[in-house]
Amino acid sequence: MLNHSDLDIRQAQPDSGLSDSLNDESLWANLKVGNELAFSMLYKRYVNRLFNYGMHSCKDRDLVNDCLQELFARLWSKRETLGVAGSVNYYLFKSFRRLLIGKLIANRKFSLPFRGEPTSVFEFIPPTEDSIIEDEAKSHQLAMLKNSINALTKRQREAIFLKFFNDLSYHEISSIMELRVDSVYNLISKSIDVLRVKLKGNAIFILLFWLFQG
Amino acid sequence: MKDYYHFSVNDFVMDENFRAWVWKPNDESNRFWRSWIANHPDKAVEVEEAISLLKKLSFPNYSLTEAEIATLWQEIKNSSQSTKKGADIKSTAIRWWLGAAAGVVISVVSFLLIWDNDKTISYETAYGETRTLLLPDSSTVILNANSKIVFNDDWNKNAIREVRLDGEAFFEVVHTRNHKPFQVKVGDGLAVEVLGTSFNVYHRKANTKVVLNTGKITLTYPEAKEEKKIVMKPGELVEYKEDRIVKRKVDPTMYAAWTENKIILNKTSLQEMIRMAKDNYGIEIEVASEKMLTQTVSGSMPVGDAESFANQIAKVFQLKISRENNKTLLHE
Repeated sequence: MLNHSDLDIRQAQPDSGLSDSLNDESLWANLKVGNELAFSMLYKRYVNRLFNYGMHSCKDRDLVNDCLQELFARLWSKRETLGVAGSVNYYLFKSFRRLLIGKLIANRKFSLPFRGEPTSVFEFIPPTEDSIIEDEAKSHQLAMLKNSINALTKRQREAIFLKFFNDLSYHEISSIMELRVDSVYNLISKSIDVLRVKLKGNAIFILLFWLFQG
Repeated sequence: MKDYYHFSVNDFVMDENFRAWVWKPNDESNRFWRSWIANHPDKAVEVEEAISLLKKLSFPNYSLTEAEIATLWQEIKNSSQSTKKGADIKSTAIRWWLGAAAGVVISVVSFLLIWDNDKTISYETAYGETRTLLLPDSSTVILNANSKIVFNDDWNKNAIREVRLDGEAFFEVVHTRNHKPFQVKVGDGLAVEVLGTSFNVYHRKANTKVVLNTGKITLTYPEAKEEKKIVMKPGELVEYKEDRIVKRKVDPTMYAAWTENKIILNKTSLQEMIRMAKDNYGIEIEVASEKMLTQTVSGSMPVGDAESFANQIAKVFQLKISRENNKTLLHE
């Protein structure tokens, strides 16, 4: 009698942790009133994302770790007075980048005389052969990938990284990278043009297969 | 709905929904995009190029090991402690355990929090609203619609961690180092007592239901003026109604599905759905004939606002819906 086609019978994940269901904003609110569990959840949620971001900018593991330590320690000790305009995600990326630039400039002062605008210190380094092989097993695509990402400028790389892989909006990225919103949009759009040219001529039939399987 | 028909390759690549489908497809997005592509064969070239590009686009992922994450956390705790000043840094040696749900157990040192004296805290949800709360011991509660929870904000002094509930809530209770019991009390004298576990408690006019997901709990309830106890195991449901206890085996995820904004129906009758509409949304639904009430459905249903909830009910039972003067009527 009943048509079940509209119904989607799927089991809830029994072990999907509750920590996932608490959004950043409620964790933030709890952090502000001194809830340490909320703080540790935020830390766990963001530490690797920020670490990844940092490592793409300077390959200095210790320096990135120092910045993470300082960022989170400050977050806790100043929790009562912290005000966030915008998302927690945005706040953490922006603060982290600022800290990292500060440290990079300080380090550079010892070696070279400081030149140029501060953001030029922040370089989105192209992936090296090692780092790719470490993470991806599909060796055929590797050469391609390296080639295409290397074809992008540092800023294009960073904008794509933030927009596509870290859920930041054009507005947020414009503030993080200290660019105008339309420049961010153009950076990303231009990156796609470059990638399209680089990847042209790749076996489209493989994708047709992927699309219609399952 | 976006005008995907006029999208270029770049537009597709830059579209969040499209990217989500290519990178993390789920049943819903597969259904949408496969049917969209089937209906727009002339856009196949653009779509294929966009998919191809996204499939190849990735950055190497640098990550810290679990051990490094734990070490860094200790350093953060140490350095934020040393920069702290004032009276509120008396650190106690309480170690909190992150819930098993977090996957890894990290021990931390907590600060003594200064609260106002014995304040009673209460949270209430409106019709159609759910809320996630953290309790003073860091246990989490998801409060379903039209529900209320009351507790004392200082649990250090008391021998038990106690909350009172009216309505429905899902609890994930953390185990404390000193094994302090956690107790949920509901209006009809039933109490759920646990050390650390997750479970769903439902208490409204009709009856009280407790469903245990993980761990072990003890229920105490009055029966003929005596206090009785019953121990529950995971996957069990206990229903308490008019001084009587009924225990049965259930799929506990079904009863906690509302915490993920969906309802799982398992031979659920229209009568139960109408009661749910009243409990959670405060809407009165009437039926054209009494015999419709015993029809049942199975499956899962998204939860939205009151109006869409009523529409969903009509849809799954294949009934027509009409509204007038605040009345919602279902008919064949």
